[in-house]
Amino acid sequence: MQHQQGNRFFFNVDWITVLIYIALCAIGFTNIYASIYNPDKAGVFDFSSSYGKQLIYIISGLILGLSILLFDGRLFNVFSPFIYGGTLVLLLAVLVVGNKVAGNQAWIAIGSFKLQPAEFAKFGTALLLARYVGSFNPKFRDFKSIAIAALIVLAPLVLIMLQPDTGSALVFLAFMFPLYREGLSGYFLLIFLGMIVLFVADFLVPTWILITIITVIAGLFVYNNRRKQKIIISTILVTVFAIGYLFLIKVAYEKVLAPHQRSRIELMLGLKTDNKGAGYNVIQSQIAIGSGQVTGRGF
Amino acid sequence: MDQLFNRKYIVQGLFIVIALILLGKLFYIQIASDKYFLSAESNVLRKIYKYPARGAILDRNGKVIVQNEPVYDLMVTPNEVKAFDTLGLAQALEISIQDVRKNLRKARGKSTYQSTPFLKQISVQSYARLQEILYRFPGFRTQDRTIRHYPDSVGGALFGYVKEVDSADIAKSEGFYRPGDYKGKSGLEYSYEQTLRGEKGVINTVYDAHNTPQGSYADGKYDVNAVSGERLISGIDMRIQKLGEELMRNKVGAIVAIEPATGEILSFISSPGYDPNLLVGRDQGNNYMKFIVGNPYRPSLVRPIMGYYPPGSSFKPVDALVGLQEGVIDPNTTFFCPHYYQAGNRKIKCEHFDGSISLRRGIARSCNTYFCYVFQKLITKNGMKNQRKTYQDWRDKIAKFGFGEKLDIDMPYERKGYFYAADHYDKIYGKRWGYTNVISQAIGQGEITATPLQMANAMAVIANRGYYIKPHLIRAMGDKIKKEYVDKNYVGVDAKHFEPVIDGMQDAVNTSWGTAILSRIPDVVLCGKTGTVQNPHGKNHSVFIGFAPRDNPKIAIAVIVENAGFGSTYAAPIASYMIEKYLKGTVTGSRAAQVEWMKNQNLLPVLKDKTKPVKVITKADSLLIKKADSTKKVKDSIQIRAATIKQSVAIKPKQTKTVITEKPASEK
Ligand SMILES: [Zn+2]
Repeated sequence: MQHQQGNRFFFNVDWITVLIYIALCAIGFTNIYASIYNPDKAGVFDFSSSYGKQLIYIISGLILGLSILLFDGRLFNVFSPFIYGGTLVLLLAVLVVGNKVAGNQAWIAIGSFKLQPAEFAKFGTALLLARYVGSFNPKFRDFKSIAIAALIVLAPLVLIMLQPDTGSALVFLAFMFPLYREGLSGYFLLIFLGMIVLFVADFLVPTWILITIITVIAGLFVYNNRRKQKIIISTILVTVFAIGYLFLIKVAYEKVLAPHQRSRIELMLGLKTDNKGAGYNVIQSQIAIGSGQVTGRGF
Repeated sequence: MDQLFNRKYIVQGLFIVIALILLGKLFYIQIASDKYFLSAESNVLRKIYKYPARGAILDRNGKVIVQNEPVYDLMVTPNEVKAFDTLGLAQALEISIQDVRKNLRKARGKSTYQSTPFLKQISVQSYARLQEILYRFPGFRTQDRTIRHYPDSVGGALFGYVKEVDSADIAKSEGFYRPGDYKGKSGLEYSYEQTLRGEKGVINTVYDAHNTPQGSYADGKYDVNAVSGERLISGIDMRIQKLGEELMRNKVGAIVAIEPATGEILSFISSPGYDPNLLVGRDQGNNYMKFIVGNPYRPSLVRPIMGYYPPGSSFKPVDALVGLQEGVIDPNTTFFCPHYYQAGNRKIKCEHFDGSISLRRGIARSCNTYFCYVFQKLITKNGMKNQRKTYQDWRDKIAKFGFGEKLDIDMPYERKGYFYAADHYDKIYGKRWGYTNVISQAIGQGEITATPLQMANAMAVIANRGYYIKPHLIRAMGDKIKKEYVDKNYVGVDAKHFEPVIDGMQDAVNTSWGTAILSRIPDVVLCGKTGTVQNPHGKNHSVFIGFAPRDNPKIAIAVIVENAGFGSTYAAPIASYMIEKYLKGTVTGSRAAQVEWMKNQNLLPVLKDKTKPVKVITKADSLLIKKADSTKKVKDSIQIRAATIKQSVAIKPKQTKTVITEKPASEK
């Protein structure tokens, strides 16, 4: 390790990720530029336009990223609890002093600048979780370590749900992947997957049919393992939870999701077609994409 | 090696699977499926909007009173325009070459690559000419839509008008309206906008490199058909709507007629009115400035629901009903009228010396003294100390007839009138005040004002003997009958109390001592009440309210002619013609000639603004003289009439304030 000290900066950088990031930025910028290209007002450096703004964001992102690399990594390790705590305070503050826009209280306006604490919370949560995972290398086999990791992730998630900004909150569920990588039982991923499958299925198939299917599968499973009491009990528990979850979905769907989110889901699942309202954008996008063919259009 | 190391691949695998799913979907949309295919030689996909026809409006007899006419806009997409035959286009459109250049410049200023209007509402002839030569003008295309037409040319205030949306409308509609859309801005066009407007259609049209439409994209799979607006059936009877507007020609005021049994409004007249066809088409803006804004008598004021008038004597029947219900009088109660009523140290004049007078005659002769006594009894019935509370109680009972509150008619901008609660007088008189302070309300003067709609509605209550149905203009949308207009709103007066009051109202029109005897309708028992409402700004307003026939009434009406003088001279005859026309289909006998005479009366008040002189007929009683001659009544009956006609009171609102200092004296 010692001899790498001098070149650490260059060798420790995850160049693949950086390159992917830069490639995505370039593609995104080109597309925005092409889509709103207006022959009346051409010019890449028109900062009032969407692509001009995008360029500003990209450049400032790169500068910011570079500056972060210059810091010693241990700095973040030490400060991560404070950064995390700070974002939680911001999340609490936004519930009190935030601006309500379209039913969501997600912004704190400071002059013309709009601060969205949920974005900082992603950063803060990642840092603290990394510190926790790296601190004593937990294998997430015991209840305590799972509970602590869950707490780190769920605290900002719940606060964001209160805004309510379901979209940003869902992003936090992705922390399950690094946790899995670090030893969290694969069952959690399976349960997560199962919940998604049940969620979708609940819209496409009547609930009573789903319940029948679940019960039959559980019954067969219990029958096959009828000598093993422990398996029987956990199967019954899982079945009860699954059925309860099915009913919960319906309630949560009506109460938690905003109408526009509901109609997006319904459109995606093909439950309704709407050439004018919420579906209009989808159809127009499909036409736009579809008209591209192999060679594409618009450049 | 880390035993969890292989988990890295599981996570990576998951992401790869998701990426593959998305790629697959893209492949399907973009290459495999021809659903989204746009042919190679085509070059533009344009959204062409199809404007739906607005819903028609029918009157109660099924006559179409609002319909549509097709018009065409010529649209231009400036960056597709090639050098073209400017003169040819100008000739086809019947405009000058300069205008062609100017319009093109204007369109270019808005956007070079979006389709914007080049010339709106071109004539059918221009459209036909253009269809043959349009291929010579790339970048131009026509857009058809419909505009409103009002076959009877009346009812400007009733129907309102339709206008292109402005940026505020677009912002408020959250994406429904786009520039170039039209929207109802007032009247029925406004309140039923969502029913009338229908739904816009979109045709995703493919244009080839020569700007020739190649038909609908993907066989119309993504097109939306335009849905025409729904038809409205109104309760309006266009025959009397039209007659009423003609009768109100050169007069300022309002007429509201209601079918009592249903609450349907039979006529809704605001005068001066205007032809709604003026506010259609290319001249809309100019005509609006010229005929609406430019008219000093303010046609934009929808007087049936926005005009405030003291109800005056027409308030007396309502007062009597509450008195009967509260038991402070009965049909046989008499009071002594010595030509005035003494309220504390104030005298309220009565127009005649009635002597000992009963309820029935009190209504028929509009005796102020009688109703001041009724009011005194109503407010003091719980003792002198409780007058404030009793007043509030009385006020709430009168309000049930619809005074002081909006009736929630299906029209925008309805106002509720003034009818003050007790705390308003607390502010003026402190906590100790009594009936003498507010006595002018006994005869519908002073602080109380009502809209013509509220007055007509009060008549519907009396016609129905105790309830009203929310007055409304539209009874059905499409084939659906509106359900909210069936609830009976009871006013809390028992049916038995109505007959004595109606007796008086019948006498007012049908006996020699009544106030409106010149407005008798042959073979129809019209019950009514005239009012000559004092107006601080000028000559008295002429008011008549009533209903007919007495049994099973078919029409209740309120007529107000501003600054016209006596109720019996203008408002009452106008009401009687309207009612006769409605009940019989025509005004009969010698009265037909009177209708023509009335139409030609100019009663426009003199304007304070000297720059616009208006010819005004000031002889308010010319009608009376004319009729008196023709009927050749005996001399003394004319005298009675002359006396009865002057029935108004002289209490100026300001005088109530002067009483403040003398309050303790009157309170004892
Ligand atoms: Zn009298």
